[in-house]
This record gives sequence, structure tokens and C-alpha cells, in this order.
Amino acid sequence: MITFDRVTITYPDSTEPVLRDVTLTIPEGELVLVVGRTGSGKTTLLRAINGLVPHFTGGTMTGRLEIDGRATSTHAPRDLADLIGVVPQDPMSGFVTDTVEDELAYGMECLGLAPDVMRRRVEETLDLLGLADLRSAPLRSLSGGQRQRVAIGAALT
Amino acid sequence: MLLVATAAFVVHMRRPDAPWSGSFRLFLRIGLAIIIARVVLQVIFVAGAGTTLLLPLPGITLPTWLAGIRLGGDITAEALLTALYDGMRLAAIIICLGAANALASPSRLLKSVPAALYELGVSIVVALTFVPQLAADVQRVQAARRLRGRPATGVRALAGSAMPVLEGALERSVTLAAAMDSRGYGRSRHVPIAHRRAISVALLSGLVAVCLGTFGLLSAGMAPWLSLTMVVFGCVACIAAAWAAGRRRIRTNYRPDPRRLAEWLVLSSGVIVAGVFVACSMVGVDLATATYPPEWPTLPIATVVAIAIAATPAWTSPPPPPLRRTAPAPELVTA
Repeated sequence: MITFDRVTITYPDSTEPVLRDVTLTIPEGELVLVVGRTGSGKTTLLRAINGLVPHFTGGTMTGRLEIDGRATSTHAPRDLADLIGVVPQDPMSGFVTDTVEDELAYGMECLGLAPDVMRRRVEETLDLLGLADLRSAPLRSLSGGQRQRVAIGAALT
Repeated sequence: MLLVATAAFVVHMRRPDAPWSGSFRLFLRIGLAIIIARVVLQVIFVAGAGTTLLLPLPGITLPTWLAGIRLGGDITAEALLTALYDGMRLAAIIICLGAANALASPSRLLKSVPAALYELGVSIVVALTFVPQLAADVQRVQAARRLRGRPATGVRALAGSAMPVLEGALERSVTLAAAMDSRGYGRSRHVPIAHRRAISVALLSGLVAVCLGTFGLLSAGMAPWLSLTMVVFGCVACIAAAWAAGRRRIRTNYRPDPRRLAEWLVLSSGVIVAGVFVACSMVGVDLATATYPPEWPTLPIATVVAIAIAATPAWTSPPPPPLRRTAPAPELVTA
């Protein structure tokens, strides 16, 4: 459950807010598509959900944004990592490790999951996304589509 | 010389096909540049010592308000040799570092780093992975310049492409940091504030004790037993604080790295070589070749054996896994 309550976000080098008084609720199990013109604040909206805006980008945010009861004002992105998975536009820019399998496991390692749970989830994700043959392939050698699948898998695990 | 050859040999035998392993050639070039720079500097600034004249040149001594530096002057064999050895020593160190860089997988290295130093290790590894990325960026920008009909090489082109490359690198590092953070990097257990303060106090007092103790040992102004106790106490305090801080970490390992026979063999070959060299210098075998007067370099037999041992990882370490090559993706030119 994601709740925006009169959220207004202003970046540091501008006077006009990017988002003004956004109020919305996304219940569990909902599939939502954000559509808008270039520069209308889609990315800001999405990045605000896991706290990257304003924790990483700077700027001011007023109003209240809660994910499953945790407010982004008091929780850094890392404290929301167990609730939110992010797939960046350019998958390569978000990869931390060198191989497919390690990349899928990275997020779970950070969350401190038990090794057997990790192994099971990595296998499931590899099968689900058809990446099983590529498990030990270096991320740099993958094609663009394969990289996207790895990034999606890394967000799923 | 032998050391460098050994390093190159081991790299050649066991180089995995990974992004970080292309850097060895770069390090070789840096080593060569160091030797040349050292010799040239010697010729310009400190020529003239020694007696064996190779090339008589006029020299000027700068006036005293310019620190009285001597420029130019006769080039002697002794001075040149000293410079050459100095440069070679430095180059050997750089090249050995390069070999380690080309062979070790940074992320595997990270798994053996103690918990307390983990965060530091990650920043180093991320910084290391940026070097090949930077090289790729330079090539991309140069290709873009060529497409626009501008010169891609030369000083002006370099200046023109430096800014976009640096900007790209900076932007990418921020993006990576954001991605790592949103995937939970650096999450820690909640620790009561009193506990955290205790860790800081222990760490600080330990560091201060180590500094004072080392100063006392070196300057001999304090009683030796006192400074020694301070060093020991400081080390213990630091280690304890680091251990306590490491317990905050909740991270688990997906695939623990087991230490097998091969790992132990490689490790022991390194230890043996280091031991032999230390022992040599202790019993007084002179490893440096004298330059006044110049003499033919000698090679103690023990060091040759040690260097031969250093080459053994070429066989004892496991061969890099064969790679499955996937078809390269057609890349869009976005420039």
C-alpha cells in the first residue's frame, strides 16, 4: 500500500515545484502505469516512492509519503529495499556485481537473507526469466534485452 | 627484471576474460614511463656525480634565489645507472600491483574482507571498476568526435573530450550509488546510541594510543615498556571496536568462498618469496647493485629460487573458467 498525502517536491535549483499536492493511494496488488509528457515529473514521482528523491537528489519535500506504514521522510532508500524493487532505465548503470547470478543475489545479501533462501529464490528467478543458461555470464557480455531481464530479476528477488 | 617477467608470465597463464583483466598492459606502460621519466630527470637535474664520462655537456647552476639547482652538465655512467635502477625498482612495484589487479576478481576479494572493513572495501572495488569504464568512455567520445568530422587525436581533442568523459563518470557513479542504496546496501541492525558511542570512544582512544606508543618507540623519549603497552592496548581497542561495529552488519553471503588447496598453495608461494627476501636482507646479502663504481649486477642464488617459486601459481592456481560468449548486441550510436 502506497500513500501520497499532499506531496510537493521542489528541486534545489528551481523555484517551481516538480510535483504539487499529489494525493493518491495505490492498494496492494494494483498495476499502475504512469503516463505524462517529458519533464512532467514521472521519474520524480517514481523515485520519490523509494526515497531516492529527496534523499539522494536533494531538494525539499512537503506532505507525507508512506509505503506499508513507513514514511520516506524517516526511512532512507536502503530501509525500504525489502519493499521496493527498482529497475533503472539503463540496466547497466545499476549493476553492482560482475555476473548474472551474483547480481540476482546482491539485493538479498544486503538484506541479510539466509543462504538457502537466497539460493532457492535465485533459481526461481533464473527459471522465470529464462536466464538459466546465462547464470555465470559476465553482465558486460549480455545483450540489451538480457540485461533488462537481469535488472528485472534483481528487483524481483 | 626477473620479478616483472614472473608477474607477466603468471598473468599470461591465468588471465580470466573479465573486464578488469585488460589493465595489465596499461600498468606495463606506466612502468616504462616511470623508468624513462626517472632517467630524464636525472640527466636534467642531478647529472655530474661519478667519474666515468659518457657524454660531456655544458651545465648551468641556477642562482641561489632559485635554490641553486644545477641544470644539465656531464652525463656519467654512474648517475645514469642509479637513475635506471631507481626507476626499475619503482616500475617493478607498479607492474606487480598491475598483475594483482589483472588477476584478482575484486568482488571475490570483497568476500574475504572482515565485516568491519566491508564498506571501505566496497568503495575501493567500485572505484576500481571505473577504470575500464573510463577507457570505454574515452573511446566512445572519440568515436563521436570522428563522426562529426573533428580530429579525434591530439591535444585539443583530448581537452575537448575530457569534460564529457569526466562528467559521464561522475554521473555514473552517482547513479550506481543510488542503485546500491535502493537495493539495501548499508542496511544495519538498530544499535542503541550508548553502544554506538562506546564503539566510537574505543576506536578513538585506541588510535590515539597507537599513535602515542609508536611515537614513543621511535623517539625513545618514553620508557619502552610504556610505549609498547600503549601500542598493544591501542591495537586491541581498535580491533575490538571494529569487531563490535562489524556486528551491526546484517549482510549474508550468497556463495561463501571456500579456501581449498589451490588457494593455500598460491598464498604460501607469496609468503615464501617474501620470507626469502626478508631473510636475505637480514643476513646481509646485498640485493641492490652498487653504482659507485658501476659493476655488473650479481644475482644471489636464493633470490632466483624465490622468484621461481613466485612463478608457481601459474600452474597451481585453477585455470579461469571457460566463457560462454553470447552474441554481441547491436549497439545504438547515441552521440
